[in-house]
Amino acid sequence: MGERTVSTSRMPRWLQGTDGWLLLAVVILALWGLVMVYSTGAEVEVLRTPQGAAVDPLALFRRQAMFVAIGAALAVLLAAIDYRRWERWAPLVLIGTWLALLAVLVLSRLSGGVGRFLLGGSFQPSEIAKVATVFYLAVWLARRGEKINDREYGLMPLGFLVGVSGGLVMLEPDFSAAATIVGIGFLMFFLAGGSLRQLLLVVVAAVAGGALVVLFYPQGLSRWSGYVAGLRDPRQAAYQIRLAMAAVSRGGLLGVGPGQSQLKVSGLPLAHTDSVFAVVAEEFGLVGAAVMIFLFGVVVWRGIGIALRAPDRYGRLLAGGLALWLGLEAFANMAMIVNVLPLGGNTLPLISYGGSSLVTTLVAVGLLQSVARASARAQQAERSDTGAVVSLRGRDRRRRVSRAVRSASVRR
Amino acid sequence: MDDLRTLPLEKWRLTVTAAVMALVLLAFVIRLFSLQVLQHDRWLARANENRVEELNIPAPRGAIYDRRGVVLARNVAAYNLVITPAYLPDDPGKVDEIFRDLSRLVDVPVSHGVVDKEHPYVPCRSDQGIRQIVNFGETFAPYRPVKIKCDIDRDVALMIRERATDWPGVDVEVVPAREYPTGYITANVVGFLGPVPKALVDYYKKQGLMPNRDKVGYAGVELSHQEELAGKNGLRVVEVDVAGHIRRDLKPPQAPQPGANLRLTIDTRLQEAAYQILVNQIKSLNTRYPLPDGEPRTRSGVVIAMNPRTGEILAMVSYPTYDNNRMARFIPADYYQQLAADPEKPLLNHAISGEYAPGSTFKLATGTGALNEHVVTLDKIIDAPGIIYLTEKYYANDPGKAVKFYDHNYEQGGFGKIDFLHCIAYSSNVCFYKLGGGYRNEINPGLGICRLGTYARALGYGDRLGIDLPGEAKGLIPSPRWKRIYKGENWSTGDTYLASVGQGYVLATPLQVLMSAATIANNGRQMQPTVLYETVDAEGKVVKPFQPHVRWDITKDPRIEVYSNPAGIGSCKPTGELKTVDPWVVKQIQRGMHMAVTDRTHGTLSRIFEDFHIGVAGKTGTAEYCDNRAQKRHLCIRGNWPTHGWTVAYAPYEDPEIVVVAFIYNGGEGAVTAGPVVRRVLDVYFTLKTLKDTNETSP
Repeated sequence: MGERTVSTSRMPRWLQGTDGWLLLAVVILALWGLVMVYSTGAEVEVLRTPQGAAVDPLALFRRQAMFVAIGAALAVLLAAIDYRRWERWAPLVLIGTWLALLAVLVLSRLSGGVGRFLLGGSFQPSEIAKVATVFYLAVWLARRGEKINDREYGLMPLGFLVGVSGGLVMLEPDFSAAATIVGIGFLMFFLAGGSLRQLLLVVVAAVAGGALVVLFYPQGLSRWSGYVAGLRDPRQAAYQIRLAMAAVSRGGLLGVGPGQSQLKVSGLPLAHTDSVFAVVAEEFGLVGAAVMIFLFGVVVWRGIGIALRAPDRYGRLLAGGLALWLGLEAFANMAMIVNVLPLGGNTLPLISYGGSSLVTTLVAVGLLQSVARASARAQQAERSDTGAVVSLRGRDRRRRVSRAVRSASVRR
Repeated sequence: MDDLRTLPLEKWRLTVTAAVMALVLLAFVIRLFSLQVLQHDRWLARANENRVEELNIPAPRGAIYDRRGVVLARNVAAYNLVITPAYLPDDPGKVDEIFRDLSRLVDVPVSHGVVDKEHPYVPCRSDQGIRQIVNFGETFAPYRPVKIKCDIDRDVALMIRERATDWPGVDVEVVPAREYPTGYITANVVGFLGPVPKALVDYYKKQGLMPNRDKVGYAGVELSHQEELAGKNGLRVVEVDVAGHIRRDLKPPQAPQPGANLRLTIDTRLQEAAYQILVNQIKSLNTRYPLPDGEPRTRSGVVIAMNPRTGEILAMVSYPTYDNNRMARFIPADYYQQLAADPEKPLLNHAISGEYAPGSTFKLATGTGALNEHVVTLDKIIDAPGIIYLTEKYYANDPGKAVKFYDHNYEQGGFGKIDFLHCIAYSSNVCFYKLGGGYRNEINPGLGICRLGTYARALGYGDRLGIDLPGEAKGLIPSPRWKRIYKGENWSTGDTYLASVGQGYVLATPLQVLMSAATIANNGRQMQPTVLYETVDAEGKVVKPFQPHVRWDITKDPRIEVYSNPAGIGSCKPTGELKTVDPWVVKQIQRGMHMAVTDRTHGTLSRIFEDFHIGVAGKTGTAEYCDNRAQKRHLCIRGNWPTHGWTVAYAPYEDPEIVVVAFIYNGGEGAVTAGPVVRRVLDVYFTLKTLKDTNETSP
């Protein structure tokens, strides 16, 4: 995590300070994701096209490519803008997300069913909620400082924030997204310096909450029992898991080759979204899957690195939270495919088909790069202007921003 | 303020998290390594199990015809209303509309009940509404049609078919159902179908049947010729997806081989006539000879007609019977229970499954034995008074005690002195007691139970005849050894007396009685009785033409055992030597049976066939019995037991082509009760024959 990775003046100005390893890993993953959608999308089109109608095997691929373009543009934009600019928008972003989640709930109740989408199925607010939660918690925890270990000041409001986001998502109902949000909350609390006692309290509460979910959530019990049965004997596992493991095992060491997956056409459910890792493992084998895992590892590693170098507490929490979120999402998905965790609906970031997830992931990457660039600038400034450390901090724009919230954080 | 904002995160927290994530990533790689490399083959095999499915394609069941081509069993189309959930329109309103319209058409509620563990969805049976069934099908396998209602009207089916374009996902499935146009007339021979019984699931699976779909024979020809009728189901090995969608064939599909069509030896016209004749006779007996207890005298009887030269069963009536057409689509529980609980056992084919005392019809066996073993000669005059006394001895120096044996006309003082042929013609019991068991110095020794047994078996008694119908009974030819085991007593001469006239322990099925006469009629050649004439494939080509099969010829094939103690009372000791029956002996028995018809003085059948224009030979039987049912009705009065009526006869005498047996349970005297039935069946047979001769149209 040395300075070598920090781009310098050879790069265009808006790219300066960008983390190259992260960029490389994300580009490879995004392209790989397009390949996977190309591989699995046609089958989905065949299945969902009404009988007799012409099948457009590339429809999903085109859509995904469009979202990659949108996401990439957003990422570049966010990377170019200093992340600190957004700090004051945090409450607005969170409230906006909540409103979107509420809208989903209301609209889906009106049409009488399960709903996770807005705008005619192209916008999934629960994905946005994840990144919005990370963003808001980074801002919020940064301002709380060490006081987060004060229960009334830290854990309880935090619980409220995470609870509202997670609860709204859960009501959709989307249990996996809710669990992810709670997981992010926990991790960020840990990063921000939550005491071990409080963390233990959170774990106990989470286990109790999890037990309640398993007992009372409509799909909870069946998924749990399927999971337990599947751990004992994989042949008893849920259908999706059985087929996913079948796909994985078919892959062998080197895989059956891109586009050659058989399970994607013979029953593996959600081959293009939740189960895409199984298809990766089948088509690219152990080697391909390990490379993909390694790439996600690179994303997390670079993300953590960015967090460690970030110039301020907010940046550290933001970068750390985003990196851990991406890692968490990827792990949950892979763990499900190899039958380690119970069946959930997590997507594999950048690989699974789905516009909201893809765009959100790329937004997160853009924010990470923004933090990376800010720290690079700070380092450069420190290196070029030896006596400016104090004065830099004194004249930093950050003061202006912090003033807006000073009244809330006045120390008595 | 600034220190708060720049307050560094504790580095270890990030490092720990990163380390945990690295460990998890490593765990995934290890897990993948174990799945993909270490256990690759094991998992691959399991994976294939998941997506490969064997589809069993039903083969159409063969039809059953009578000997002239009249349909006895055929397949008709039954229509099931099915819905493929995946093809229903996306618009819930439209789906509702379709459900409502369908509900009106087929009378299944749109929404009713639930599908859960307590109320599972059973196709064609359970009573859930359309919506519940469709929802169930959708979650289970959306591309598999679910049955909404089975066996809908053809008109309704056509109406639904017409609207196929308006109603995507709604379809009518055509399945074969069985129909038995002749119903109860031929039910005992044809039988009926039912679902594969649990106990036989493995057996039928081996034959390629699908237990939950395919039906199998439960009785009659449907059961005995199950394999030929069922054909061979086709097989497709296909790849399917989770929704039940067939993707492709993994192996070349095997087309189903339709079941063979069977043409039976039954002549439905004769069968129907025999049925009516028997039913009328039973009715008339019940009104003419009422019993003191007010119950009908008889409710049960059998008529069988066969060609003695070929073994073709022309008619086989067992009354009471059942209507197999009521069981054609499914077996109605109430009807089946009613049949099963009926004490007359209508589901049983009494012609082959009922075991009764054969009475005097058994004298054919005794007579054949006595003449062939030179116990008696044709010119020997036997004294046949009304009663003889026999000193029963159970062991060698048993002083014994005298027991009376009656002839059936002892009130008239017996038949007096008669020769062997008249013994047959008059059916003199005393005469046959003497021939069977010996009598003082007049007949010494008698035939004895051992030799009687071997002659009876040679004529077809005592074992299954192997007719191609299920449930044949063996009957019983007792022996000293049998009595020792089952009754715990020694055999006595009295037992031989009774056995000689088909009483005592002797039991026979009506088919066995028929076969004994048929063997005599066919000059000793016993033909294999069968109901199958020929096998015809789906195109009507004869696959297996009829081939008469000789079971044995008692005048050529040595079937008669030679005993070292021919007349002995102790156990039978066969020497291992076998011999045949002299053809001359068989001729004499034929003469005796003919005299029963021609002798106007005492011939048992002379009255019945007084004006019959074709030569007939026959034997009557009046078998005393006392079974548990008779006991319950208090019919078993000592010295005056209830009797079954028997008559067996063949015609024409010179060149027999039909032999008929009639049996009436608890009917009374054979000549009076069963005789007219045989006579009328012969009447019909020869009438039909002249029709056929003058108007030869049938194949």
